[in-house]
Amino acid sequence: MSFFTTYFVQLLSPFNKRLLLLFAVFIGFCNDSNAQNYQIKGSVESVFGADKAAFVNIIVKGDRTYSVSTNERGEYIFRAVAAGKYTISFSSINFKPKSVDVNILSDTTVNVKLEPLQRLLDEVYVTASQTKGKASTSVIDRKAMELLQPSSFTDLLELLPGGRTYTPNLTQMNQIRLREPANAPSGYNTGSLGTAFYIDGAPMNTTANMQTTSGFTTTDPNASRNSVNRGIDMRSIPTDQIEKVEIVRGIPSVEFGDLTSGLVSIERRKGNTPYTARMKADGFSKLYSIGKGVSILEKNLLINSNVDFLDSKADPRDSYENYKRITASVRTEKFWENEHRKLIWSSALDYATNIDNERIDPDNSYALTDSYKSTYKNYSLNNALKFKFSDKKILKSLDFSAKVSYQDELIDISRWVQARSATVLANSLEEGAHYVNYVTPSYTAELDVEGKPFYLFLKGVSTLGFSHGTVKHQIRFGTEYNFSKNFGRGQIYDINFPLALNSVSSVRPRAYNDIPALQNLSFFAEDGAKILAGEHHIDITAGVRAMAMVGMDTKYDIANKFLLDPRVNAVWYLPKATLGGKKLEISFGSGFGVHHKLPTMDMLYPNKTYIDNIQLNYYHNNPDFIRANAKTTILNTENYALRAAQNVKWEINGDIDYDGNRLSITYFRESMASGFRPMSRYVATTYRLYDNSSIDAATLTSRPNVEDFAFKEMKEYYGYSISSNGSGTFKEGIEYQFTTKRFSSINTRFTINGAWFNNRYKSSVVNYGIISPTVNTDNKVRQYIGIYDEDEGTNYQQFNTNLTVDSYLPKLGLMFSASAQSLWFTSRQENYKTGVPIAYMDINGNTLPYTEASAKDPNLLWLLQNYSAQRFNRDRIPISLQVNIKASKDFRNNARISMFVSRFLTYTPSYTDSSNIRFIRRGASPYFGMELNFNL
Amino acid sequence: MNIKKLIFLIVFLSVANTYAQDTTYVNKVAEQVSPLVTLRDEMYSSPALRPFYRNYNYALLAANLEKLDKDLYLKQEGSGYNSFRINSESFIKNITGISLWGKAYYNNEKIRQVNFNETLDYHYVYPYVMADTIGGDLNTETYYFGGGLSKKIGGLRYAFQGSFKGIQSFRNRDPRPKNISSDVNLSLSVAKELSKNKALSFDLNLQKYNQDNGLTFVRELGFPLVYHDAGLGVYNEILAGTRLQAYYKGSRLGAQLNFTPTNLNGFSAQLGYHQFQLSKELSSIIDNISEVNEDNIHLALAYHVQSQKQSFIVRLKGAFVKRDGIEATFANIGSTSLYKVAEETRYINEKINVQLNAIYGNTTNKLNWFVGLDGTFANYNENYILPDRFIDYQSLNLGAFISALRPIGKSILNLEFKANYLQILNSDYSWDNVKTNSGIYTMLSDNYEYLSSGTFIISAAARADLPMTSKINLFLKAKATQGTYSSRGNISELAFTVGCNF
Amino acid sequence: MKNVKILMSTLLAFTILFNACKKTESARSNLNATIVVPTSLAGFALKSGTLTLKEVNSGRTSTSSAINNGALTVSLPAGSYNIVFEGEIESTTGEKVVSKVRAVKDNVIVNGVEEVNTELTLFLFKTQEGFVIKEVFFTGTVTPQGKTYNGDKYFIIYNNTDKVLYADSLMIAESEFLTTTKRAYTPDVMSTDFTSKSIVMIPGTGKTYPVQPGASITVANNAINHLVFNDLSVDLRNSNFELTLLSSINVDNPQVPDLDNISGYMTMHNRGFKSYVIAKMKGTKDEFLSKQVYNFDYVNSAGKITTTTAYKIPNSWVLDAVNLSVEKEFNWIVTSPVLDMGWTYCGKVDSDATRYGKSVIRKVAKTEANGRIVLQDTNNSTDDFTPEAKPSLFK
Repeated sequence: MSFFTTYFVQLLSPFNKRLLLLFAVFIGFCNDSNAQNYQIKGSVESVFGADKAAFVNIIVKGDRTYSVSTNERGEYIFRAVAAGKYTISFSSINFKPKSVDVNILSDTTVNVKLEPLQRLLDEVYVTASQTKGKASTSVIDRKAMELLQPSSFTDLLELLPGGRTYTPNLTQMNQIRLREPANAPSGYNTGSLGTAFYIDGAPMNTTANMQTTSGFTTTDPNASRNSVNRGIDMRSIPTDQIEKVEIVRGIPSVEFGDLTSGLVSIERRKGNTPYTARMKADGFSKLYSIGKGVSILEKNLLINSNVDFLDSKADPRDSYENYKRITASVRTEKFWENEHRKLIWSSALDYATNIDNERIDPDNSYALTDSYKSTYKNYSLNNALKFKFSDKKILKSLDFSAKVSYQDELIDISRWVQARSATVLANSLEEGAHYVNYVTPSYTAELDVEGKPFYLFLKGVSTLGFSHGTVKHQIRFGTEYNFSKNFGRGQIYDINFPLALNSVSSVRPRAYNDIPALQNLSFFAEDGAKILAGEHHIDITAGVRAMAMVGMDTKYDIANKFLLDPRVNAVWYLPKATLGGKKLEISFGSGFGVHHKLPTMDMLYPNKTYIDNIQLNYYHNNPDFIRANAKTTILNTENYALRAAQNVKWEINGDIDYDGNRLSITYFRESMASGFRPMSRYVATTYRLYDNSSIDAATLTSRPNVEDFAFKEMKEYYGYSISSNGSGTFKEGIEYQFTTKRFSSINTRFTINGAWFNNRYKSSVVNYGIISPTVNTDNKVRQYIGIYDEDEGTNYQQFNTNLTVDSYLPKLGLMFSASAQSLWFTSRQENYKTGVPIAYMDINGNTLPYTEASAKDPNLLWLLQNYSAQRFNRDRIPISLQVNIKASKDFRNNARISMFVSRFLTYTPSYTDSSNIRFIRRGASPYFGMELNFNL
Repeated sequence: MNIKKLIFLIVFLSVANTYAQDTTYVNKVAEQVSPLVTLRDEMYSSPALRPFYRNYNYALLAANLEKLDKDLYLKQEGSGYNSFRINSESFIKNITGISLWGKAYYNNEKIRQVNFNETLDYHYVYPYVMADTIGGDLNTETYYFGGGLSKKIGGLRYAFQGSFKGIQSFRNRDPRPKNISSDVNLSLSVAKELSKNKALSFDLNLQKYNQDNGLTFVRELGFPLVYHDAGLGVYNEILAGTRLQAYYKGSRLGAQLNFTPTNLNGFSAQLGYHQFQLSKELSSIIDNISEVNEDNIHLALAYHVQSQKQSFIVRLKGAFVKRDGIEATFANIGSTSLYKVAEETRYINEKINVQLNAIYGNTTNKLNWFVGLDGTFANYNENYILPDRFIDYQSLNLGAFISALRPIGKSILNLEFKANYLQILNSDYSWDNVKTNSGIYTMLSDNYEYLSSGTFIISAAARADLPMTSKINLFLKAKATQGTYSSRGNISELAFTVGCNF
Repeated sequence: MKNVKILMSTLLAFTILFNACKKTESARSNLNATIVVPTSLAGFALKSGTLTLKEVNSGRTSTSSAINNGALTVSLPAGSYNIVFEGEIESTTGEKVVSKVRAVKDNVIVNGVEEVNTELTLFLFKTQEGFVIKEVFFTGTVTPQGKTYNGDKYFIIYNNTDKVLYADSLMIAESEFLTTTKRAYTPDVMSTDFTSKSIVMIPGTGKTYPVQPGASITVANNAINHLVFNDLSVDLRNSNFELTLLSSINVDNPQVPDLDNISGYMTMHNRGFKSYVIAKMKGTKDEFLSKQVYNFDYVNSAGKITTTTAYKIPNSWVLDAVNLSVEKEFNWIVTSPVLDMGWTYCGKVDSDATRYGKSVIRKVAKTEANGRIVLQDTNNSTDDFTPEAKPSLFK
């Protein structure tokens, strides 16, 4: 275990002093214990361990009587109890009552274990539970995670409707795609960018993430890990300290903004926990985690800390590509209270390192220079203050929070570059024609990408509550400010030794710290009204959020303009009824919301595109006479018309609960026509092509200059891309979940959930296309641009059902679940396209209609995209069924062994695709592993 | 072996065994190390009869290091291995209630010199392996967990037994296979106790076997020929090249009838039959490229006596295995998949084994000792049709051993010596249609040399059991084996085990 | 001892019992091949010939010369057979003229159950005189650091006659189809045309570039001294012609004339999956580009129909052809068998690491008295070329 200790020590050393300071501060707090009285404190938990007994009534009866309830973590404290003999009795609706006799002569700790009643077992969900009264919101708690045995946050998503068990892929960026089918196309990233992640109330901001090497290398080793403009990389979030996750797929409160597609709110563990250690092993990754929580009840103080380490390989065959994650955090919560108010201060200090590594395999080359390493280090400090006021006042609470985070990011690529022939090196940073050299035949190229994003988050919320007749209002006002700036130096390399050769259109280095900071200011107001109308009961939450990019150059359309997000959620509860002596609860809900996501720094301030046309390439047999000349054209790719992405959602929902068996169905539609996407543009560049045969090579006496040559004026189209709002994602679907109660005889619950998704992905703007540069038209290349106005959309569907059977047998310490996950089908169908341009542009920029005659023109015929009718057939992939088993066994509450086999059994029939020609065979190898947990 | 893994697994499995039983310590150890019990256990393999198979409950956790080296070997199976294994077993019997047993192990192996085979589980998939001429050492990781329970309901005993074995094998140098196999076994068993301490049981055994066999190369310059062996070095030329992904799907259905005494004394018999079917698919071809059908029948008859002083077992066991390989021929008609022209049985492998074992044991307070003799006749016949090739041999194996167990103070010492002599009675081969300078010719010749070579092997093992607390005893075991092949070369094996008995 | 003997003899008896192996015979069925004399060869009758059948799964070959009424019957195990017939025909009237003929048919399926009938249509086989492809160096080289290098590929075209020939308007074309991917292309024009999208042509007015008997011309990718960039490469400054490649990988030696790109760029397939022909352009380049357009479609590997466009070069224009492939990936020949009925190679498997720095070179048939070397051209590249040869320009 020494390796682990080493990591731990290395990790903590920079923090040592700060940590000690932090602890010292806390220990100094409130030392006002009463000398005559003693305190009794302790914790209450289930005899089966892990279940904390919250809200248990405790009565201390003796000469005097005291009473208190346990908090949500099962802890209690009597601060001042006179010395004497007492009987402490514990009672709760979830546990069998218990009494303990004690003689209090000093401060005493009384920890008890209670035997749970069946109804408590009913509360145990090892699947995601749907929150009542909040449509399209799933909650995943610790119990579910214990059985799930996740490696990262990504693995939790299998519990959502439409989710499925997949083998973790830890050497690639893990993108969240809520309400999207498994076969959803890549390139549609606004959904994941527009899914906000909050940890303990503070957002994880990625706006200033610019770590990309795209365009700088020929085969981009960073491509699969690139998270620029793609949102949160979920593999960087460990699950061990997560108490609970709430995933809102529907319409979140207006309190949360700068999102389009969903909200993930993570709450981490608080309070007393034993030393917990977890070790997970599977075929390609090993995970270790240690955590400890302390609850100092006398001081109203909780301290939690943890470290975790993950080491994984993409493939056991490849020892040279791996991903490592180290995270550590120290969290505290302290409160002061009197009868009028309560002040809670919580604070969290977080550290994380994520390292992607890839080196060339010794099998692959003689020169072992190629390597790739991407490091993300994250430091953050989050503080929150909450004032809670007495129930009698209109002002219920005031919340302030602030988070500062800083990332130290570095991508380092080394590569052995070999010219495949004599190659001209065009690398000017200035526009215009100039003499250029040939590339050094072979060299080691180095590229560093340095990013140092800094984020500040400030938020203040006031909550007011009052009743008005039968209506109970809860009104919240708030404001939020986000600041994002990147202090990194960007791409750094020697421009004479680039990583990529042979490209006409390319990028050059630039510093990130020259880019201005982005500031995002928003305000929101929301009313949550509970209306009692006789036996009926209606909850309406309605609010509006205003958000703007402030302090920005006004050449951008988006600058300083407020965007409004109105959102409403309503639930109508029918009167409670009984049917056959069993309780029946029915409710209907509906919601509507507008959501905006602002563009990122990379979209607003993209790098320039450089086009280098080689004008002279005179490779004379005499090395002294060799001459090359190129003309560089620099294109500014900033799009001042870029807007925020807007997603409009609505949904309706029905929820029936009969005797603890619950069915919940949601139909939803989402329409996001202005998602972000790079769009192609073409520009005609002019240059001179010098004719090598215009001078006599044989009689040359000195190195020729361009003036010596005859030339032809050339004009060619080159493409580049700009960020625009050209991506459309239109979602429609039904999500359903049916959960039975836990059948008491076998303690087994059945859960059926799934979803039908019918999504359309499209490019919602006019498209341009160029004739392949291998085709000569008019004896030249790049002369014509086709303009296509076609509905580029593609429809994707998925329908799935997961049946999970879970048995929770606390007496045997056994948890077992088997899930049969059936993906009934996925399908894909492209909208019909003619392939005929509506118009074309000639090299002089004239836009001309594309006629039938054009289609016969020997040059223009190349603009026809010859689509076969078959291309637009619906591709349907038939059933894929997998059975997974997971089991965990507790040993005396101190240790737990868990094991899992995903795809234990599968049914994935081979099929021929829509063309009836291509045969597809699907393998499904199992993924298995073991895990050990200690609670000491 | 990775230290991280090792620590992880030791801790991991140690927790799996926190059962402790009170039994007579020496007797319990004696039962566990007895060669007679080991042989007898086979007669009690039926899950429904499992409660009767031993007198004492046990739970053990052991770590084992083993090294095997062979100068002659089947090229496809490798020249030996280094293995590290953590093993945990437990058995709790309750004749009237529920008897429970379980086993979990993790095995990390480096198999040396695996050639002409890039596929896992050779014994399941042969001869249809993916192969290239390079090969090399192969790393494997095995995760196994399984268990069963038996309960008497009414006049019958019902039992269920299930297990999962997942293996991942890989090589991190070219050529790089990554093979994942899953082997799920289920047995259902029912037993009827007859009068006079006899029981009859019937088992139904089901197995589902899958393997994903993938191969890659990372060299940017290129890679060697990959082909799909069809037995005795024959392969289909159309399928050779760069078809690097194969799937194997197998299933076994078997039944076994058992008759045993419930008090470990008397006559027992076992008759079993199972049929195994396996198909091999390549990722882009609609039809299976090959199939295996195997029939396996075995009969075992034994008589065993277990008394305070003496014990005795004699067992006769015969097994017949016939394995047919069916191969498809294809035509390339220009569509995306190959067109299947025909299929034919091209490979036939028959094995017959007749084995006779006898062990006598004597127990006193000071010393337990055993002597044993065994003889095995084997007939092996492997044929390929068109081109015609075959290997066959008949062999006779004779073995003898002596073992002794002696309590020394609170400790127990156990020693064992064994000798084995294998004589090839007759052997023959033909593969005259193979070029003598080819790698396949060398492979066939080397394999034949191994198969047709007699051996003389001796081995010695020592085990010491040391009590730690009243409930736990530590044991250490060392075993060394040394042998020679009649044609050339040696075989040697070394194994060390350290473990705890609870 | 006696018991041991009894035991041993019993075992031996067993042995003999088991050894009486029950070998099953493979099922066979008859293949009837009818040799058809086409109408273009009216007036001739089949004289003799040999049928060679190669089973593609096993690589087994069998032959038959027993012609009976213009047909041959062979009993074969199940399989897919590639059939070649080589023989002679004789004129039925007038003076007896004997000509060599061939017939080729691939993928004749025999399933071991039913009798199969197939027809083989003869074509005349005569070696053409003129320019031949002497060498194709398509693999490129490897640098001492193990990286690929590819500016040094080249073609050598040889005047195989005793007359001066002019290289003007000589086209080099690379096949659009891969010899490793067999597809049903519609319309199928392979019997009449060669399909290409990479076509280059030697410029000239008709008499600009004379080539002496027994002389050759070298067409280099980049006619520069590659030794500057790669120690394991070659100096190509003395090439006769140079290709113009995609601008990003192009380099121009002003002292070596450039070929004219008729269509696309001649980026030679470095695994050798494409075939090459040399042909004489008839008419102007513009006429060619408008008249010889070939629109075709096929089912791609994703199961979709791809419609695409290339050019077709009539077989009658073609002077010489060489098919390239690799043994383990070879599927078909992408020229008419009349042009070339075999194939040659560098590398035996896909991405064979050993192929670099090797080329295919035409064998020498004979040397004339005057020292002129005559290269072998039987329209079968399998026989005519030395595969995996050391490139002739390499030191």
